[in-house]
Amino acid sequence: MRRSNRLTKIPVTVLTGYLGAGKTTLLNHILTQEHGQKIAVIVNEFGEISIDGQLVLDADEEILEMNNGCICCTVRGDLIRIIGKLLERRDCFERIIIETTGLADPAPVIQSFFVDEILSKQTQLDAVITVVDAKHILNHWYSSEAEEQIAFADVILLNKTDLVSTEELSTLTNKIRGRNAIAKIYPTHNCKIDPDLLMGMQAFDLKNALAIDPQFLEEAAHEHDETVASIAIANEGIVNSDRLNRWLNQLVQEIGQDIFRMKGILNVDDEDRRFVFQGVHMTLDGRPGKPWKPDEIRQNELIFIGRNLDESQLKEGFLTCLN
Amino acid sequence: MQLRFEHFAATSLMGSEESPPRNNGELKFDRDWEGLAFGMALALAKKGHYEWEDFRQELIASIAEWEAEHSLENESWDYYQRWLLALERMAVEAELIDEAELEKRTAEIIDCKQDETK
Repeated sequence: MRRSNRLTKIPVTVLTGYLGAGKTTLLNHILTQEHGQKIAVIVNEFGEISIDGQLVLDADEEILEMNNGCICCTVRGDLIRIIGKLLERRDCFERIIIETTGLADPAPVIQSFFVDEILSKQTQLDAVITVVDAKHILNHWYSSEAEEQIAFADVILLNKTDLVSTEELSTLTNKIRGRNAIAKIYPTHNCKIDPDLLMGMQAFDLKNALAIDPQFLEEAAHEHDETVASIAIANEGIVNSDRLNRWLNQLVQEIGQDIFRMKGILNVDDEDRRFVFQGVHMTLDGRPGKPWKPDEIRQNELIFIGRNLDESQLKEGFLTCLN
Repeated sequence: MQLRFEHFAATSLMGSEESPPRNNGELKFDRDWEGLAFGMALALAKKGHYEWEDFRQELIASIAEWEAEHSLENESWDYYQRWLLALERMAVEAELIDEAELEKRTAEIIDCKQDETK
C-alpha cells in the first residue's frame, strides 16, 4: 500500500480535571492496559504529589515532566518546545498524552496545537478528556476551573460513582449536559474504562468531520439555566464565504473571551466539499473538509459552548451569512 | 481560516521543499503543461476525488525518489515532472484512469508528436 508511506500525524490526548478528581488514576489505568500503543506522557508536576511520576514510570513509558510552573498559562511555549523535542524521536511513540494540572485552563493547551506550525503539521489533537469527581464537583461547581474543564471536554469521566447515589449521579449528569452538550459522558469507578473509548476520538480532526452528532444538536437546543451552556444552530442554505468570514471574525473579536469551544460544518458557496471550522476563544481554525455525497442534504451545523452566550444573537448573526 | 479550497491548497504547499517554483512570489510555469498539471491536481482534490494531503504526500514521495537517485546539483531536476508523476499516481489510485489506459494514451501522444516532426 502506498498510503502507509505517507506521514501520519501523532494523536494527542489532553487530560484535565480538578485536583483529586482522578487524572493520575486514569493515566495509570491507560498506561497499564494492553492497548498495543507506545505512549509518550507529558506530566505537569505543579501542585501534584511526587508519587505520580513513580507510578507512571512503573508502566515503562517515557515520562517528560515539566517543573517550571503551570502549563496552562506561563509555559505554553514549553509545551510546544517539549513536543517539538519529542517529535525528533517520533519513531519511539505513537501517541502523546498531556496531563494538565488540576487548575489548568485547557484553552492555551488546545490553542498551541492550532497556532504552532510544527505541532499543527505533525500532531493532531485527539480529544480533551475531563475527569470529574462526582462526589465533590458541586463544592466548586461555579469555579472558573470547573466551568472551563467541563466546557472544553470532548469526553467527561464522571468518576467516583461509588460515593454518590443513582439520583445524585443523574442530576449531576444533567447539570453537566447543560454546560456541555457535545461531550460524551461515562460514569466510572476508579476511572476504570476501556481506553478504546477514549483514544481515537478525532474530536479536532477537521479533515474527516462529517456532521455534528444530531443528539448533541438536540441537547443544545434545550433550555438551560447555567451561565456556561451550549448553543446549536442547524439549517439548510448556502453560506456566503465572505459574509461568514466577516461574521466569525467580528464575533470572536467581540465575545471570543466567552466562547470556549465552537465547531461548524457548513455548506459554503455550494462547493463540492464541506467547509469545517473550529475555534477556541479568538483562535479560529478552518478548512475545506470531506466532499458532500451527491444525494446528501447539505445541512449547516454549528455548535457553541461558552459563557453568557446570546442564542438569538448568534442565530440571527449566522442567518445574515446565508445567500 | 482558508475558506476557499485553492487558498487552502496553495498555502499548505508554502515554505516546504515540495513548494512549487516561484518568480517574485508568483507561481512560475515554464511550459504550458505545467500550469495544466498544477490546476488539474487542485481541481481533482477540490472536486473530492482525493484528499489534498494525500497528493502532497505523494509529491513528497516522488521528490524523495528522485533525490535518492540523483545528487542535488544534478541538472536534470525537473519539479513539474515530479508533480506530474504524483498526479498520475493519484489519478490511478482514485480510479479516474487505470495504468493500462494511462500508458496507452501517453504512447498515443508520444507517437503523435513523432509523426509531426517527421
